[in-house]
Amino acid sequence: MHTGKLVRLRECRKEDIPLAQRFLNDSETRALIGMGIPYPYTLADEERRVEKYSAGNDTYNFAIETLERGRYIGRCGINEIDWNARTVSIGVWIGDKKYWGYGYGTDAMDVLIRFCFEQMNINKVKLGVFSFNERARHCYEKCGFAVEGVLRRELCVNGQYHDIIEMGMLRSEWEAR
Amino acid sequence: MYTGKLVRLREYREEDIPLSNAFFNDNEIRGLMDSGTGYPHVLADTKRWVEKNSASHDTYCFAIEALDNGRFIGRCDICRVDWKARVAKVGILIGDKRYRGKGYGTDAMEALIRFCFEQMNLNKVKLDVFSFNTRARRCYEKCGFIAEGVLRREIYARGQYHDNIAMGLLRIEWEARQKDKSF
Repeated sequence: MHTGKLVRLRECRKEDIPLAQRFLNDSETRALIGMGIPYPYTLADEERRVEKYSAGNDTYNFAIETLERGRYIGRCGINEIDWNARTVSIGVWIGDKKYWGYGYGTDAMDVLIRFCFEQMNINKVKLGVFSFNERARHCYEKCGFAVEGVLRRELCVNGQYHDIIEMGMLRSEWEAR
Repeated sequence: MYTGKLVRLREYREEDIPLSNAFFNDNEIRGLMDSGTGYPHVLADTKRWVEKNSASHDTYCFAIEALDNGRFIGRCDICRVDWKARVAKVGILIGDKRYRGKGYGTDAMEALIRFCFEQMNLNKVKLDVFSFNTRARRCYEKCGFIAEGVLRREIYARGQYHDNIAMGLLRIEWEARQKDKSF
């Protein structure tokens, strides 16, 4: 159910925590995903975050594991749900840079999207991408997302203002693919 | 500081609670401002909400009072602030229908925007408007907001899916408008 061509999505585990902390404290990765001040996370910050993940909440976070060697390389999940409008906001990051640019993120995203539509019965999946993150934007376009808006200067990273690109995919568009 | 041509923005008061509750439970109003189920708020819900307003948090909610007769006619607020990117999200509601379509909302919005830029030192003010709410959209355009995106089918209201329009106003745009006005 949660397996793609290159990765599978599984629950987050305690043993992933040190690696997740290292991935998220990498300044290049952090600048692509974090809107806040990039003060490094302590191990305890990451432990607390992962402890909150549970099948009993309305947020769903998955660890991304490579199929060929079972390696933990990143995380993806559903950050916000509007059950009334059947819309979810999702996100993904690949922390292990050896796996950048080879389709692992796209594969994880495809699995996550399928989960949203088939398991959650959602009508729309949406996300925001920083305007300078062209690799991610290309990945989302490959998954079928369309640009719906350019939210001007809503982000300040490394001393400069940037736009946030809003992208979305409707159930009907996903089914047509 | 908070006074426009038709309204002033002031703090919420205990005596506003019953009217505020009635405004919020009006189906027509509710259908324009939140995409939830529209289940009515009991008076205690509104009381709790008003009690939470305080100068010590990062959300700023104002009661809108008509200048001519001091009547409480609605509210406007800053509901989310990103201090790093200097962006705030705002919202407004004119609950008293006699004051609709006469510029009261636009006047309140202008006072709120001025508060964001001059008192909070923000760089951008943003808001969302449901696609079918053309009156509100025209008001925001009059205030200088530009549509930045059409977020398709993110609202479910009146038995149908609708789009949510994201609008924004940058500080430089607002400053240019203030200069134009003074000529």
